[in-house]
Amino acid sequence: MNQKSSYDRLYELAEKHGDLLRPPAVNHILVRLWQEEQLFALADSLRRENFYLVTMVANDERELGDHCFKIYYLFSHPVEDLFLTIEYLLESQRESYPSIYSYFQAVDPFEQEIRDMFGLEPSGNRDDQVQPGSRLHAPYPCDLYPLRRDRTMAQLKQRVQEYNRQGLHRTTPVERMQPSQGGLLLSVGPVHAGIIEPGRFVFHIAGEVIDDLDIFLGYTHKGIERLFQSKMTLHDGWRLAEQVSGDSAFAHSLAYCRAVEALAESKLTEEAELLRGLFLELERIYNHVGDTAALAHDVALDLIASELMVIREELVRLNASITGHRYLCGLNRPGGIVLPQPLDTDRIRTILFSCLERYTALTGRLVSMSSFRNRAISTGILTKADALRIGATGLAARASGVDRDFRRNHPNGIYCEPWLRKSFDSPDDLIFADETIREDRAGDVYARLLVRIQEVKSSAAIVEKILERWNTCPERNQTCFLSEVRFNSDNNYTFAIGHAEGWRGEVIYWIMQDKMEHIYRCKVRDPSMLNWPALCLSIIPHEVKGKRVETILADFPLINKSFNLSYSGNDL
Amino acid sequence: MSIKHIGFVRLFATNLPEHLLSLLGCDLHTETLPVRRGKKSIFIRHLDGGSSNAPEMELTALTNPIYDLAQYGIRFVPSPRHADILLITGPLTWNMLGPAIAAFGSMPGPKRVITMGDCASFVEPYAVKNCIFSDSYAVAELPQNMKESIVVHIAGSLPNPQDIIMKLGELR
Repeated sequence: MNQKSSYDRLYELAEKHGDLLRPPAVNHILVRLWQEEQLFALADSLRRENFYLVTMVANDERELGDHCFKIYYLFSHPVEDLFLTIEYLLESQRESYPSIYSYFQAVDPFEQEIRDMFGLEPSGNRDDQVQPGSRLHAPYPCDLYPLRRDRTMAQLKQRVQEYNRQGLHRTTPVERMQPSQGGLLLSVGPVHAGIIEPGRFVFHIAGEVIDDLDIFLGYTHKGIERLFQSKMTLHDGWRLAEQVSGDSAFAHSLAYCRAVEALAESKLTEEAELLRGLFLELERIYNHVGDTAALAHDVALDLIASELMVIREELVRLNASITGHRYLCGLNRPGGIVLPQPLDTDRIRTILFSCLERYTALTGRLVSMSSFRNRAISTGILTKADALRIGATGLAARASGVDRDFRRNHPNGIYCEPWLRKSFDSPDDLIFADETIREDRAGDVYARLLVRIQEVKSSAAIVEKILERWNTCPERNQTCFLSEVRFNSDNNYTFAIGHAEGWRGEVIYWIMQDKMEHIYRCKVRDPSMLNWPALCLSIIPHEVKGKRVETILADFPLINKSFNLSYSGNDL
Repeated sequence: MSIKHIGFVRLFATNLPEHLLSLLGCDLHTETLPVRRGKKSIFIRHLDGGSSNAPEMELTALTNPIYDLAQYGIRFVPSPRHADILLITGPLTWNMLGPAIAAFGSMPGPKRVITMGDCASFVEPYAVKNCIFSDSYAVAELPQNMKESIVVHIAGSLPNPQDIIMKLGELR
């Protein structure tokens, strides 16, 4: 019997519930809904089919054809390269929308953000109200709504300044909190003892055990999404994308460029794609090595930590010597990539593989040390069920057994190439194949470390393959690999999606084109946004295989480090 | 093996083959820059005023065995209460203005401030024209007393560790 393809099934499903529109890409279905029942029915079907939420975008389109706010939900097929966008129209003058929280809990961080940035309230289907204040804290007037288009950036700035001159501050949620009976509130942050980003963690503790944890972020909110639409053009937005999260600068600018290239329908040269793959993997490697060092440091194994930090330093110096920037900034452009000098493949190969050799030896010692295993194994467990329920993503989800990687599920660029895909699937050395290892799917600190170690290996193998391929390219001595990027004004007010699997997980850019090659709306989604709730779930008391697991306060820094989420990428 | 080579990282680094060391452009022994000889120590409290996390990565790198910031008598401390200097990275968001003022307030005198990065648009004499964040509604201004306490500004869209050390070396 001929089975229907997933695309056809999804097509029929979408057609049944709403109006189909012209999608932004061939592996994409776009459906427009305007009634609550339609949205719930479709969300329910999607949940049954194990689709997961990728991003959720609110957009102020009151001055465009439909005269209303819109909410876009982007879903992905669990395995195949297939996206569905739901375009939900709010009734004009309405400032609330139905929440699909009961079908997809992953909408929670997005709904909180939309509450602050647009003033749109989710209604129904939620056990609690969405509190304002996740991005805009006490220094902001409560009806600022910076992403609505009826005020200019200058007006917004003036409004905030005046509000602060009058000294009217609202109370923050932290000030309103009360400890539970017999418990204690321990508020940490926003300024932490180490050299890290700001965020406030409020622990409800009883003795040493953490009863509950509230995480308040938003301290690094810089108004990035508004800056995209008021200051940047489609051509130069990559500069701002690099500032979203410094450790994923390349993944962010890459995802941005992919979205812009999708709008301009430009085709890239093979060389540009190879370089993009190369730098994406180099970024993954130096971050994973740095995180391994930090984990060793956090369990007081400073000998190994110091040696790993030296390796990391060598790797960022390698970045600097081939690209001119230690953290791979300034390379991506819409249409391709620009290098400061021709690529020195020998240098990359020599340094990278020397580093890899030492890294393998050091991590081999680290994972077998009893004092490390004691701290890391079964600490901070994120169960697979929890990870799926809240839509955790990237490295953290993979360590919990959710086999999800955009390089494989939604390949673009070199990741589509058969010569590379073979290396993804081969049973010996690469990440995904070996399902027999259970330790690296247990969802604890140890598992997240093992996944990092495996990914360093597989990334180095990918780099090796890319370099081999690079040496056969006729234009390998050039420095500029740009294709033409020309925007079609017919595409004004249409959107496109760009994604890149950074080291934390997939980075998603959702960009709507404005007239004059400006940006109408750019929604950035760093993987951290979905994974902060995952961190919280792995710490508060929960059940693992029928047993109650509790975390003590002293383990929090270790667990936090094993996720190593970005504050800046979440707060925007 | 000279006295320079004592210590675990040195031992480990000297195991590298010679050609590799020259490829790296440096030997991996602790690099010593010609700054801050015979001066008093400095305790720095770092404060993230809303940076992308790259400046934090560079500050962390300063403490690794290669840069070894402690050799210059400079140390990052966990609390502003025993800090000589407040080091602010990033453009200083409105959300971080309160914590920044509180941290500055709890420092002992004489209070000094260092700012880092080109997105620190509040640093008057050094302010970068067309800084990417200066127009944003979310970026605040540093209070006057903190502005007056700025002793050093470390410029660059991402100053690298050597530059940071050289700039810190100007401190007395």
